Formats: sequence, structure tokens, C-alpha cells
Amino acid sequence: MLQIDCAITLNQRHFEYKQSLDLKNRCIGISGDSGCGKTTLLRIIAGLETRAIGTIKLNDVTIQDSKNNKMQPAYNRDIGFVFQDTRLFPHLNVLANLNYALKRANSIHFSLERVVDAFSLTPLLKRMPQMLSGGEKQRVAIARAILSSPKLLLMDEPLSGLDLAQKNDLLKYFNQIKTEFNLPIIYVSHIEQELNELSDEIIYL
Amino acid sequence: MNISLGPAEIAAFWLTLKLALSTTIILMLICIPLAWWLAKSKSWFAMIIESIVALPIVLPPTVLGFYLLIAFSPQTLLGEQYLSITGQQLAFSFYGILFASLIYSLPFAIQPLQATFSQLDTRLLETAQSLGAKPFDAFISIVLPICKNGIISAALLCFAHTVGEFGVILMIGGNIPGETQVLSIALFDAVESLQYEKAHMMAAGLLIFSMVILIVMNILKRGQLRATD
Repeated sequence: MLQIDCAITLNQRHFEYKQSLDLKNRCIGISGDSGCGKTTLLRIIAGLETRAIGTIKLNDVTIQDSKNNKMQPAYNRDIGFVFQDTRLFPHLNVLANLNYALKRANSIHFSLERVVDAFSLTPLLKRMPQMLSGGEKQRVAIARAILSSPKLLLMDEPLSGLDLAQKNDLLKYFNQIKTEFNLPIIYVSHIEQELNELSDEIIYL
Repeated sequence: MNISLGPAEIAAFWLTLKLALSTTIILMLICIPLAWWLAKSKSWFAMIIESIVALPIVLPPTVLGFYLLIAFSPQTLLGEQYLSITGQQLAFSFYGILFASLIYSLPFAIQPLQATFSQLDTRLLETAQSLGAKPFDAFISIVLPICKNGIISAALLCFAHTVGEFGVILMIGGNIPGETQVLSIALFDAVESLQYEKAHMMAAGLLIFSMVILIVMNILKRGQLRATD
């Protein structure tokens, strides 16, 4: 269960979030117009937007409580984040990018071999991120986030900027995250079709 | 015609190397965290510190040397403390020229580092945090390797600048062979005593060294641009 009651003002725009999400092995889709604060919501949950005021509870554990000056840092929240622009570390090859997450995971739920197999990454392991296609980069980014053994996986429009063939290819892997890794996911997108295909529930901001 | 270098010039070479290496290592340790803070901070305080740090670029070396000479005198707290601990004066000693060199070369280390850090995509640090890396870990594992070429460039510039220092060293250290006589001062000494062959050797050596440093820096700069692209 994720309970969020937070507010933030960014660039003179005020956003308020009051949600209680039952996450148990489910994928919650978040939809809304451009600029309605979808990405900001994910950043607040992940602890990357430290200016947010309010409370957040994940599985009954308070990870943020501004009134009591409690703010669990992003590195300690066990929340994985797949960014729109992949953000693979450019100085590390695919294997080193994956190991980066694995080495820093608080507890290891999934082995490297299992994740590499699930995302068909074996032929890519020695390649540098600059040598990968958009779809391959996103596959590595998702695998890396899963290897950090998160309690919750946040995905911010991971299919945007990809062509149709790459999108269809990746959708196959998204279903695998749900079935094989049993990870609760919050998936942000403004494309209805994507959300309908992946989400168990859709919330409109 | 005998144009081989004498023991004084060889001692000056080793002293220059010792001074430049010490200055570079100490400045890198100080400047990497300081430049990171300056590159990321938007506060007024950071802007003031940035201006103070850049001061040696515009200040005549003799002005800096003069004030350091006053600061090193046994009548000041710094000079008095140094004298009571080591039993010798800070001025006209190796540690005196090292201290002066640290201040004089500070902007030449800080500014390239700051420029390198400013170009870094800080979203990568957010990503590292979301993967469980604490800020210091993220700095060591992400910032330093990505900015490697910029850091080496800053170290080379700092080293080369220290090798070429003259005015401030002369003011603080004088011209004591084996103690404060670095290559640039030994060259000046050779010219003054009309030993042009020796002067030629030292000047040509310094010229070639400077050219090599600049070529290496340009190679590294191109590599850094590719890395942060």
C-alpha cells in the first residue's frame, strides 16, 4: 500500500497529491495531460523532489513526514525508477551498469543471470550504452532498476521516443516484469492504449 | 663549447619537479571538492569565494609575493607559529614557496575543474541515488570517472603553471640553490651571469615541456567533450 498526501510548488505552479494505492503485485497506471504533474508525483515518491511537503507511507512505513522532519533519502527508499531518457551511465558498459545496481541493493531478490535472461541482455553485456538502440537502452535501464531489488518500481513514460517496433518489443518485457518478478509498478504515460495494455488500474491526475 | 648542465641546474630541475608535484597533488585534493561545490552552488557566498579564488590570475605576482612575505614574517601569527614549530622561517624555504605556489596556482586548478563539473549531467547522480548510491559514493563512482579527462587536464595545467612560476617564487624564496632555486630562476640566473648555453638548454626544455602539456590537454579536452556529450 502506498499512501501519499503531499504538496509542492514548482515554477509558480502548485501540485497536490492525495492518493492511497493498493500496490500488491499490481501495475497502477497514471494518466493526465502534459504538465499535470505526473513525473513530479513519481519524483516525490522516489525522494528525488525534496521540496515536497507532506507524508508518504510505503507498506505502512513512513518514508516522508515533513511535520516531523522525516525525509528518507532516495538511496534508502528501495524504490526503483525507470526514467524516460534511460540515463545509463555512459562510462560503464551494460554489465557494469547492471552490477552498479546489484552492488548497492539493500537485499538481493533477483540474481544477475535471471534478470539478464529475462531481458535477453546476454549479447549486449559488453557493449557501451552509446552503441545501443533506444529500445535496448530502455531494456537495460529496466533490468538495472529491477536489480536494485526495489519494493516498488516507478516508470516514467519509458516508451516515449521509441518507434512502433521497439515499443511492441518492450511491451513484451513489461508483461514479464509483472508475471516473473511480481513487482508493484506505478507506470506514467499519456498514451491511453499503453496504459490499458499494462495497467490493472488507471488513475487520472 | 661545453653546454652540459651543472649540479646547480640539475638540483633546480629536481626542486622544480618536487614543487610542481607537491603543488599539483595538494591542489587536486583541495580543489576537486571545492570546484564541485562552486559548480553546483548558486549562493552569493559561492560567488564571492569564486572571485577570491580567481584573484591570483589578475594580481601581479609581485603583489601576491609581497603580501605573502609579510604574512610569513615572524611578527605575524602564521610566521610565528611556523617558526615555533619548525625552528625556521617560512620565507626563503621550500615550504614557503610551496605555500605561495598553492595560492598562485589555485585558480589554474579550480577553473578547469569547475568547467568540467558544470558540464556534467547531474541527472546521472539522481539515477545513482535511485539505485542506492549515497552522495559520496555517487561522486566517486559517477562524477570522477566521467570527468576524468577534465581532472587530468586541470592537474596538468596546475603542474605546468607551477613549473613556469617566477615572480612569486623569487619574492618568497629568493634564489637559494637546492632550497628555493627552481628552473625558471636558475634560467634567470644563467642569463644574468651571461651563461647563454645553459640558459638555452633550460629555456628550450621549458618550451618543449609547455608545448607537450598543451597538446596533451587538447587531446584530453576532446575526449572530455565526447564523454559528457
